Amino acid sequence: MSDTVMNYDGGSFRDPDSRVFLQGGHVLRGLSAQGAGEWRAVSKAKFFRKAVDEGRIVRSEERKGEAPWELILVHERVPFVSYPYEWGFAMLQDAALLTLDLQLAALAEGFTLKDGSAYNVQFHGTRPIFIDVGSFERLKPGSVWAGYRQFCEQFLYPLMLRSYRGLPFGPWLRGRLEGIGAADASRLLGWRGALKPGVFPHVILQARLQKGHAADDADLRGEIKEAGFGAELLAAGLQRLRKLVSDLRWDPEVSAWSGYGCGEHYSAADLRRKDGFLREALGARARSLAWDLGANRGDYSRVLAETCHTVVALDADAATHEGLFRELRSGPMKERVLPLAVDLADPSPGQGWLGKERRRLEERGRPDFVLAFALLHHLRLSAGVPAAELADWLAGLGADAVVEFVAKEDPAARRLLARKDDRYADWTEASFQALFSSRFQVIKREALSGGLRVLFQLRPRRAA
Amino acid sequence: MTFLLALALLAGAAAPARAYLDPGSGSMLVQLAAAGFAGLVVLIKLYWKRLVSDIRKFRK
Repeated sequence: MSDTVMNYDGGSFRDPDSRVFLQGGHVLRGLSAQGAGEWRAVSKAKFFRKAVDEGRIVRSEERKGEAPWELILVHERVPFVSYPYEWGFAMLQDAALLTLDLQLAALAEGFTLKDGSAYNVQFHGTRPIFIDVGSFERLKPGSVWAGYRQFCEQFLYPLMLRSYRGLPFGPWLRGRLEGIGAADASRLLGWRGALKPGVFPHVILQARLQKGHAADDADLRGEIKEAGFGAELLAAGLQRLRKLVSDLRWDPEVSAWSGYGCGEHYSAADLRRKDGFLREALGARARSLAWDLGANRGDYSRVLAETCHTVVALDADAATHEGLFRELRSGPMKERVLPLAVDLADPSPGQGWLGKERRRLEERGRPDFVLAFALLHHLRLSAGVPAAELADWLAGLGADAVVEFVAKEDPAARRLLARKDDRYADWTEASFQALFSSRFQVIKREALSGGLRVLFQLRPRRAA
Repeated sequence: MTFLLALALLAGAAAPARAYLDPGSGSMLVQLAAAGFAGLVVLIKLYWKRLVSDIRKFRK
């Protein structure tokens, strides 16, 4: 099979010994002779088999190799792919700890990870799972961890920025896929960060040494080995790094959103009405992927998860997302609901090499049900997206939908317009209904008390 | 031409196996410093050896 025939994943070209491609709905990994050798060794290791059984490493089956690959693996599919710039603090921390735990367990049996990328971890609901099995290799004597710098740039520094300076790391990780460099992290953490645990060795010293040794082309691995560095010291350093990462804390302040949804905008009767409207729209039909847009505290994500295999709960507010993840993590829907911090007015784009390394949100799995309670008026009145474009976008997703229209006269909507001119003539229920009914079939309409909030059940009109 | 190719292949074969990811010299060294007291001792030993060999080269 030639390279052009294989449908390679745009984000897996870096490691020439292991590449991911899609075939007939399956996720496959081609391994070179070198990669296959490492796979055959590590897949028999006790730590590896245990981690697979515990759902911490993705399940893989071997299939006969096809040129140019010596061996092909068929992987268990992750329900929805997400990226570190869509995760909150606890999600990135859980993914970091999984990476370090696997690296420590691997070391104990003579293996190591050859990188330390945050993109090697995905989430099954709130459970992190390591997906890059091609990343394990046998440890060469005297080796340090080749993935340490990457681990710092994609895990440790972002977590430190949030924990020590309260800075959200999402924009930094989205702005540079490689992560945050040591010199930049050092400047961002500043003198106030310099005294915090771990900053001196991992940030300041590393930035200094990177600068000082930029042109160092000596056989450093040989020197390190000769000076007496071995697997035990490597493990000791990683244990300290693990403790540092697990001790990092971030507790979000209550934001305008994290308190929302407790009934401030709705009477108990209206909350029951919304719940009933959604359940009726869902019916008993099993669905595979639902999107809850503006998920807030996730009350309706949980309802969706009763009939939908996977629910992606999107919310732009970091504090709300953080709270939702922590709550879900210890609840019954922990494997079903994947909470992501995404601003729908500025959703994750395609980026990296050719814009294909990391995919747009819509390219990672089409939903078969979309819920947008109390969201669209924000996109219209705060972000300024024209109502017709909102209708086009929702129709483009091609899924059954339940949406809520919130009129400009609603007290919460009035707050959005308090300091703005009202230039939103298209935001009336009549215009909303006209725009949506030309793209969707309106199955049901129900006004909440006061009539300023209206629920719609929509079914897309199939293109003729 | 064949000679050059053979030389290039030989050079390739003799080069130590490298990972696809450049671990970075500075980041390799900092792992020694971050491995506690014993790691620091190794780091000092490494720098000491470099210093001694530099002095030897200088004397020659």
